[in-house]
Parts: sequence; structure tokens; C-alpha cells
Amino acid sequence: MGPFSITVLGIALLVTLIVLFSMLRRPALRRIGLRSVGRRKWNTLLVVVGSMVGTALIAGSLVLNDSTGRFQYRQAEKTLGEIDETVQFASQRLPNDTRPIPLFDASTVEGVTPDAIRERTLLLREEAVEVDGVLRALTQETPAEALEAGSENVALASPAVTVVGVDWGELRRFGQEPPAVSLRPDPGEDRVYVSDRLARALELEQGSRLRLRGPRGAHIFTVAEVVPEQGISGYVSRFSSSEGTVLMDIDAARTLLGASPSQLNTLLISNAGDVVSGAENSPAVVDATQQLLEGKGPGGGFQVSQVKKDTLEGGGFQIGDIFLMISSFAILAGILLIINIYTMLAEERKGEMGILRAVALKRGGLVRVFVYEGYAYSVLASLLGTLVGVGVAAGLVWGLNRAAAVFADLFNADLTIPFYVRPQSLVIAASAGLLITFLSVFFTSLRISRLNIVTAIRDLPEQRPLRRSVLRLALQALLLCVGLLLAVAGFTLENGYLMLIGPVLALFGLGLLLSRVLPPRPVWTLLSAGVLGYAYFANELEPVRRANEESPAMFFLEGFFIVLGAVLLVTFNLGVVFAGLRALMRRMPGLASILRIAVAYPSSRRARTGFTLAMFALILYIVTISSIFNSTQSAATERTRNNQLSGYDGFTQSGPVTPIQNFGGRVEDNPVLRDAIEDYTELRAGQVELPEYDAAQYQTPFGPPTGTPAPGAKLLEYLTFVPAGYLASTTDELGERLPEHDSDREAWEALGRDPSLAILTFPYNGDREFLARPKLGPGDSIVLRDPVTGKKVEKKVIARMAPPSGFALGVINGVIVGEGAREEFPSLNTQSTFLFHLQGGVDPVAVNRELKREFAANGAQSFFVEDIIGRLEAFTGTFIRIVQAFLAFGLIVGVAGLAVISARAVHERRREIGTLRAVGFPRQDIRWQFIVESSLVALLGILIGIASGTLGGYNLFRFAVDNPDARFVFPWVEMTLIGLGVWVASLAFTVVPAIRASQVAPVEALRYQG
Amino acid sequence: MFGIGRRKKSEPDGAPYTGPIVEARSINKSYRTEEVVVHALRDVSLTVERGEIVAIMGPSGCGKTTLLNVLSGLDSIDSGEILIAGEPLHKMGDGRRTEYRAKSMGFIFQSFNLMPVLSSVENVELPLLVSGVPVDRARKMALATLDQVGLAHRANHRPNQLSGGQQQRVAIARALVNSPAIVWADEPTGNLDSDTSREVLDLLLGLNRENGQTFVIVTHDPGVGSLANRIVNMKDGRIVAYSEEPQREAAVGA
Ligand SMILES: Nc1ncnc2c1ncn2[C@@H]1O[C@H](COP(=O)(O)OP(=O)(O)OP(=O)(O)O)[C@@H](O)[C@H]1O
Ligand SMILES: [Mg+2]
Repeated sequence: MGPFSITVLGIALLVTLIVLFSMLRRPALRRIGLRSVGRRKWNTLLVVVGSMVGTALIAGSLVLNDSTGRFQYRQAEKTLGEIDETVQFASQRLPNDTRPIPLFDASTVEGVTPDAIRERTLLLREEAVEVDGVLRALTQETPAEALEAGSENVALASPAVTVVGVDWGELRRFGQEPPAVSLRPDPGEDRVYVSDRLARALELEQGSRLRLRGPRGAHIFTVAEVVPEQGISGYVSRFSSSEGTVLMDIDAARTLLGASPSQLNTLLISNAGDVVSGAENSPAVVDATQQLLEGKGPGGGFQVSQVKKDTLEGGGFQIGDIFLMISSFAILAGILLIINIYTMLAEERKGEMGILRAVALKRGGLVRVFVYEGYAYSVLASLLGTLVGVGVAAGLVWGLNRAAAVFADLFNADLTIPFYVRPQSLVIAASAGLLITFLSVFFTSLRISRLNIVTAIRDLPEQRPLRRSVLRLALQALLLCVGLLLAVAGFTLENGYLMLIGPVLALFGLGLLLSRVLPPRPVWTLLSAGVLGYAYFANELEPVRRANEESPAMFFLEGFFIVLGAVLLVTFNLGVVFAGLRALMRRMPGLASILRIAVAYPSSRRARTGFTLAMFALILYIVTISSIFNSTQSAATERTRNNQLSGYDGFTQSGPVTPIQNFGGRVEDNPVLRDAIEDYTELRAGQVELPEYDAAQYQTPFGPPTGTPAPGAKLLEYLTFVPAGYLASTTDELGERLPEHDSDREAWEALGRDPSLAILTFPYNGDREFLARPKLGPGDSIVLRDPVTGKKVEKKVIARMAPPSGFALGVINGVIVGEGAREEFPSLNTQSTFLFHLQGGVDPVAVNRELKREFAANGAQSFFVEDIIGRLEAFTGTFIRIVQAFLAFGLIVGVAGLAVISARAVHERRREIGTLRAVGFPRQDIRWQFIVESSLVALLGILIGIASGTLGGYNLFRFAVDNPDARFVFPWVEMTLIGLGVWVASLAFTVVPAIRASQVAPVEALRYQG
Repeated sequence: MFGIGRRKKSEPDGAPYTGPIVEARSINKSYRTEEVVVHALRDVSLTVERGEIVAIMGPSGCGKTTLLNVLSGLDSIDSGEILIAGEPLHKMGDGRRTEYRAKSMGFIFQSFNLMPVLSSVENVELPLLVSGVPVDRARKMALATLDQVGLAHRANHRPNQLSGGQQQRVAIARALVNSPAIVWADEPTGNLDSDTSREVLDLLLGLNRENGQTFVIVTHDPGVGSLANRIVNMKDGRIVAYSEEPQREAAVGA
């Protein structure tokens, strides 16, 4: 539990203790307070349902994080187990790196021992971190084939399995307790243990024969046993598409991978402690190991990665946090609802309360009566909300699993998120819910209990005593000053939050002061328009935009102010808004009597109307934004579909150690492929050093799958050689180019003619968003060093590519040069990508199957534009639908809110309804008055929400979507349906109160007297 | 006049009803609460002539308000018969009875019962709008009536911005704006000081004289009683005495 959670829990407990203690001491007040909870069951139910939504959303988001956390935990348990860190000799591996893991001599890492690491951590952190194992290993992904019994025929093939070779004696000493698999016999030279996942994929069992392909040829092994995935026996690197693990003796692995007897490529380190607690010490162990290895090995040096910690934390990204952010609008709406309900309950009982006070009760006693009642609701709501939240999370997990299922076959892994609830999450959600509800109730009670005894009894409007009005004046002036101060501080410190909050507070202070001397309507109209406009344009200010990129809190704040401004603007101009209805009344006298009353209540109960509008608007705001996000996004996908891979239909890549030799010849010889593939081209890429740039300064922002580079290491970069055919047809857009090239096409073609020219990929634009790279552009030059020969070559940069349009299948990385430049890097180890066009009408699924079969021995994998975009669209579509379903749940606040408010209104207005009936209003008129009134308010709230959501969505589009292909698309149909849906749902819940209202007998008007 | 003579379609037009405007025959009304049954009205019979001012008086709890409510059709009866302009009130459906109230009855309640969210003029307009009078004409009539009660200058004030007497005058304007045949008033001066109640009463009498409307007024105030044509005295749910001789000339035919 984090400090925040403990604080929340602590305060909730404290509040509970105080309330319970106070209840014990004041049994009479407790009875009055709790009486109405049990007595008015329907009322209690509505209040509790309305108040529980916030808790449910919090619980749902937290449990979703539990579930994804559980998924990551299982992943860590299966693929890492006792392994906490890895050491490899390959700095700055990219996430999709396809090169073999480089070998190094065992003697270079001799110094890395548990004792040495312990001593170093003591020096570095003044606290020793225990390490209970360092294991030397060889690991590599290779293609694998299961052979039919007694023959060389391939039964099933896999493009990539993870081979792990270790010394069996060392394995038995690795970790506090040796890994389970090490208790089995040493597999020896030609037997292997395979993980059960791999056994399932290739239908292997004890005694099956498995052919693995290394860089120097194939070797056949016999399966000694199928073992569960438990750490070393399930080891695969993160984001890998490996289908499972093959564990063998290190000498057998050396033979397979072509390593000499003293070579290895990986050191596995186990920290003391279990799967989770061990990982907590990873940063210290990484630093210590890094220091032990300093200066060892040539060039880039060693890279130490905290693999377990990264896997457990999922790179620091938690999907539940997104849902929590989305929920914040619904939670706020929920708070408004609670305040609204409470104020109504209190107003209704004003008479009763006033009498209680007149009889004996002090103000404190009155507050207590309310607080006891509110506490009871809060407890019920927080318990119910937590329960419902667990259900919400179960739905989210189910939905996410459905969404992710479209990728399942690409990763050959079980990506199912298990539904998992940590009791802490429930406790935290329940406490947070209790606090939110209770505090809203508490402050509302304080406010209403200030009622004047006489005015309360006589049901007259409150008269403010002079002393308090002076206090008020002071507070309002203070608000103005604080706002101005914050604004000044914000602008001088360039703090985005203060720059936004300061002026808004100042505007409110000013508004409160001005409306003392000027008529409130024009004052608030101007000021709320000011708040709205300022919040909308705040992103023009650089610090605000930066804050927005850093944390979702800014997005929430801006949204909140936009909605607030819009709601105030409308609330103070209801007359203008309803003017149209007045014209309607003139036209249709039959409707006049209904409309007159339906409009009168919301216009004169302005505070309540404003609250209700805000409730709807807040929720619709975020619903609208998510819809706009979706429509804008899918419009972009549609346009980028055609630009993928420069018009090629797909590509094939081989595994790291088994390159495809004669792609063209093999396609020609295969009748299926020959008919399907129209033409192809080969892109080669290798890795070079950029000697002018230190690797340490160009860490990728999205975290450490690439590990920490050794001190002094230079930046490594891909060098992609592009053939003339590709250059002639490419549609890749350039962001900037030298003026001497008239068009993008001409610049591309120049690469083919002149090997001294280069075009850079978009990360060189310096915004560090995708990959951190130096800022370089047309006219600059870039020095490349061959890592093997050390030879330096300088290239002239003629252009830089534009960022990809939304999603892009990446086959071009780093620095792009023409084929002619290959002569300058004769010994560079390159990997090939084969891009092809398909003949018209060919089924990519069938071609994929055939490519996989033909190039099985190379571990080839192929990707098709149609297929990937289709999956991506399916995924985004499902994901957005999950988000919307989640938000639909938040709409319960609006719907329940309107139901509660109209139910209370019937009660509150019994006498007025009776009067209307006595004066001659027929039953159906009363019914329609209620329905029209509720529907006007709901509709207005929905429209404000959609309008301000459109503003917010456009803002998001302008500043957050840097995709040149993206167009702002307002989803008319979807928003109309959502708006209508919410409206109808809200109305459905006001029909019952409306009918109840119409049944009020006219005598009611006379019965309640005085 | 003013729709009180409206007949069912089957009845011949041009034959206005000339009998008593209210005729109650042995009505009984009891309230059943959880523990006890309160006989609020026991075998009450009463006739009110067109244009009369009738005052109902009696000790607190004797059933005056109940009588007013059942006579005007706001409340139901257990047995007996009530004829309004010859028509059986309690045999009408709720809809017709409501329409009847809208067009032919005005109510003045002891505690004003103005709509707090509407301005004075909007309150006065209500009975007109509900009977389908066009908005602009309704506004003119409402202003004229407010002027009659001397409150034209308060037309756009809300009830909580008015004094008790002003509120009651607005309520009176509302009761009279559609020139109903009968006005039911339950202690119209109960909340007012003696000067103001005097003003209110003068107003009612003036209207009775001008328009020939029928007034049934519940009151404790002997001053009010003295202005009535007839006083009905009640006790324990029964009418115990009529003051036989009219206190003043009825407005009929005036
Ligand atoms: N809704 C009701 N439920 C039960 N009893 C009622 C109800 N309304 C009136 N009563 C009872 O019926 C009797 C007559 O009441 P009513 O209001 O008619 O008296 P009233 O003559 O108008 O008295 P006051 O002068 O005090 O207004 C009283 O005993 C009263 O308690
Ligand atoms: Mg009475």
C-alpha cells in the first residue's frame, strides 16, 4: 500500500471512529438521524445508488490494475522466476532488435559474483543487498522443428523458440532454493527440457525429437521431459514472439550457437527474496554490477537490465490509471449529485429542523443529526459501490481480453489477463468512496445548518446577518487576491497548473465581488465566458501544454473549467435559452400552461439547475471526447492504410541467426508463392556507431527494455540500405528537405544516385517522443563508424522523414542510404527485409501460411498490411467500446440523479401541485409538467456536455494528436444516439415521479397549512 | 354565464339553469386514520343561491374546511349528493371536475398558496392558461385583474417579495380572473391584520356586487359574517343553525 492509500484509509477510519463515538454519546440525535434511513426505503435506495457510482468506478479501476498486475506477476513468475537482472554485451538493443545476442569471453565477467555485488551495494547505498546467485548462460532465439517419429520429416515448425544453455551444477546453486528443473538429471549433450507451452505448440512429449537451427547448421535433440514454465525453464525475453523455452546444457548450446568453450552471451542474476521482494533491490544491483563491469569488454560495453522489475511494473504504465482518469469526471458528477440530494433533503426538512432547533437543539446538534444520516448513506454507498466496482472490473477484464484476442496468434502466448482482486484495493476503494460521500455530506450539512430558526419554521428565504456578510466580503476579496497571486507566480515560474488555476480563481473572486454591486446576470455571463475561453485557449501557453503532456491531471483540470464555464454561462442565461419556448407558448396555447410551470422551476431554482446541468455535462464531456478521439483516430487509420510500406503489401523477415539466402529463387521454385507474389525488393540494415553522440544522453523515453548503457558508450544506430526500386516507388513523406530537391520523390531518388547522401528517419526531429535522437536536419552531416573495422564515413543529410501517420509498420530504421553505400561497410553484419507486392485477389492468409512453411528453417515471419491494420482497427474499436461501456456506467449518476431529484421534487412540491390541481390543472398536465421540466434540464445538460466535450476534443486534437493525416471528425451519428439514449434513459426514470405527482390530490393544497 | 350553465350536448341550448347553484343533500364524510375514524361531516344538507354570500362559521375542528372542500369537489364524500348548477359533482370524472374548477370556480386559500416560482401576474394567469386562453390575452386579463386588486405595480414580483396582505390580494385576483360563478374562500382574512382584512373584504364585496358572483366563505371573523347574506353555523360536523334573515341584500339581479 502506498502512502496515499494509507492516508485515505487512515482518514476514513478516523472519521468512522469519530462518528461512531459521537453516535454513542448522543443516542437521541442518533435516533433522529438514522430514523429516516430505515423509514424511507425508496429514498434511501436512490440516494445510495446515486452516491455509490464514484466508489464503483474507483474500485473498478483499482481492481483492473490488480488484474493486469497479476498478469505481469504471472508473466514474471513464469518467464523469470528467480532471475532479477540480466547482463548482456549489447548496448541499446531496440525493442524489435533482430540481431543475435553478441558473445563474450567468460573471463570478462569473472568479477561479477554475489559477494562482489553485495560489497558494491554497501559502498553505493550504505546498505548491503544480498544476491543469491549469478548464472552464466547462453541464450538465443532460433527456429525449431518437431520431427516425425523415426524420420527426418518435419511435423510442426516454429519460427522462434528461446534456447537457454546453463551449467547444470551452477543451476543447482542458483537462488536461495535451486530452480525445480535443476533437480532433474543433467540433460547432457543431446537431450533438452522443453517448457509445456512449447510442448503444446509443437506437440512434443518425452522422447520427441526436436531440430534446432543455429548459425552453423541444424542439431537434433531428444526431449528429456516436458517441464512447467517456472523461471529458467520458461525464460523468454520481454516482447519476444518466442513460442517457448528449450533448456539444455551450456556445452550443447555452445555447439548449437557456434560459441567457443569459454564464451557465453548472458549472465543471469538472482537477488535474495521471492519473485516480488527480490525485484525491489534491482536498481542497487544494476548500479553495482554496472560498476563491476566498467571498462570491461570493447566499445559499447555491458548492459545490465532489471528485467524482473520491468516485467512486474509493465514499464510503469497501468491501464487502470487511464480508467481512473476517465472516472474522475463521473466521480465529480457523483459529488455534485450527493450535494444536490443532500441540500434537497435538508430543505425539505427545514421546518422540522427549525422546530428542533427552536425546541432545544444547538447548531452542532443539527449538524450531528444530518451527519449521522449521511454517514449511514456513505457506509451503504461505499460497500455497495465496492461490490459493484468488482463487477465493473470483471467486465473490463473480460472486454480487454476480447480486445487483445485479435493479437493472440501473433504472439503465440497466453495473453489472457486473469481477473484478480487484491483485498487492499477493495479497502482503499471503500475508504475513498466513504470519504468522498461523507465529506460532501458533511460540508453540505454545515452549510444548511446555518439556517435561521424563524425563517426555517416559517419557510421564508434566509436573511443573512451582517457579521457573516462582512466575513463573506473578506473571503471573496481573498479569493481574488489568491487567484491573482497564483497567476503571477504561475507566469513567473512558468508553472502550467498555476497559470491555469490562478486566473480562474481570480475571475471567480472578481465575479463574486462585482455581483454585489452590479446585476449578477451580466457579471457572471462575462466571467463564465472568460473562464470557458481561458480554459479552452490555455494550451496556447507553452507551460500549460507541457503540463498536459506530463500528467492527465491537467487534462482533467482544463475539462473541469471548460464544463464549469459552460454550465455557469447557461445557468445565468436560462431566460435566453428558454426564449424559444416562450415563442412556442404563444403559438400553441394548449401547451402554454405546461411549459410555464416546466420552465419556471428550473429558472428560479438556479443553483439546483446548475448542479444538475453540471452533473450531466461532466459525464457527457468525457463521453464526447472519447467518441471524438475514436472517430478522429479511425479516420486517420483509413488514410494511412494506403501509405503503409510505400505501397508494398507485406514483408518477410528471418530469425536472428538463420538469414534467408536466396529469397527470389525460393519464391520462383515454390508454385504457390510464384503465383502469389508479383515482385519483391530487399532492404538490408545493420548497426553502426554514431561516434559524435554519447548513448547515455539518448535514452528512449518509454523506459528501460533497452537497459542502461555503459558509461562512455556511443550511440548505436541502424543503417538501412535501400535499393533503387524501392526509392523509385516510395510514398514516404519527408518533413524537411534541402531546397535543391523539388519534390520528395526527387530527394529519395537522389539517394540512389549518390551514396554520400543520407535521409534521416523522423526521431531526428529532436522531440524525443518515440526514440531519443540528436536533432539533425537537411544540410547537417552525420558521421557513421563501422563497429568492426572502426572506419568512419561522413554522410550529408538531405532530408528528414515526417513522423508516421498514426500507425506505421516499421521496416526502415535510423539512417537511410542508397545501395551504393554498402561498399563502404563491407563487413557490416546486415539483416534483410523482403518487401513484396501481391498479385490481385490473393488471400494473404494463405500466402502467409506458405511463406511460413517455405522459410520455416529460417524462422521467418511475415506481416501483411491488410491483416495488421484490420487487427489494429478491431483492437481500437473494442477498446473504445470498453471505455464507453465504462462511461455508460458513469451515466448512472446522471440518470439516478435526475430520478432522485424529481422524486424529491414531487415531495417538496406537494402543496404547489395541489394548488395547481385546485386551480384547474388536469392530471395529465401535472404529469407533463414534470416530464417536460426534467427533460429540458437533462437535454440542456447533455447539450452543454456535448458542446464542451467537442471543444475539449478539438483541443486534444490540436495539441495531442501529432499526426498529419488525422482529421477532426465529429461523430454525428454516434453522439446523436448517445445523447438521445441518455436523454431517454433519464426520462424513463422521471416517469414514475411524474405519475406520482399527477396523483397528488387537490386537497393537499389545503392540508399543509402555515 | 361564464360557462356555469354549460350543458351536456344532449340538452337543449338556450334553456339556462335557474335553480340553486349549490345543492348538498345529506352528505357524510369521515377520515380514517390508523386508530380512529373522524366523522368530519354528518348528514349535512345545504343550498346556496346564485349571487349569495354565504359564511360558514363554527369552532375549530367542526368541519368547515372539510365542507368547503367537498362542496367544491376538491375532496370526495362517503355518501349523499352534491349538485352544482344542477349537475351531480361527484358523479363526474376527475377530468371533467377539474375542467369545471378551471372554468367556473375560484379558490382563495387560508395560506394564499401562490406558486413561489411564478411572478404575481403569472400566478394570476394560471387559471386562464389552463382553460386555453391565448397567452397574450391571458396576460392582459391578468394585469387588469391585478389592477382591480390594486397590485398592478407588483405584477412582476415573486410572492416572497410581497407582504401577506399583498399575497392574499394576488390570490384573490387569481380566484377571480376568469370570472368564476362561485368563489370558495377558506378564512381569507385569517392571516391578515384587521385593517388589511377589511380592505380584502371590501374588495370581495365590491366584486360580488359588480359581477354577481357567489361566495362561500369559511371564517371565524364575526365581521365577515356580518357582511354575508347568510351564516351557516356548524358544530361537530353538523349544521346547527342558519341565520335565517339575510344580513344584507344579495347581489342577485342587482
Ligand atoms: N386528512 C385528515 N385526516 C384525518 N382527520 C382529518 C383530516 N382533515 C381533517 N380532519 C379532521 O376532521 C375534522 C374537521 O376538520 P376541518 O379541517 O374541516 O375543521 P375546521 O372546521 O376547518 O377547523 P379550523 O377552524 O381549525 O380550520 C377535525 O377533527 C380534523 O381533525
Ligand atoms: Mg379549517
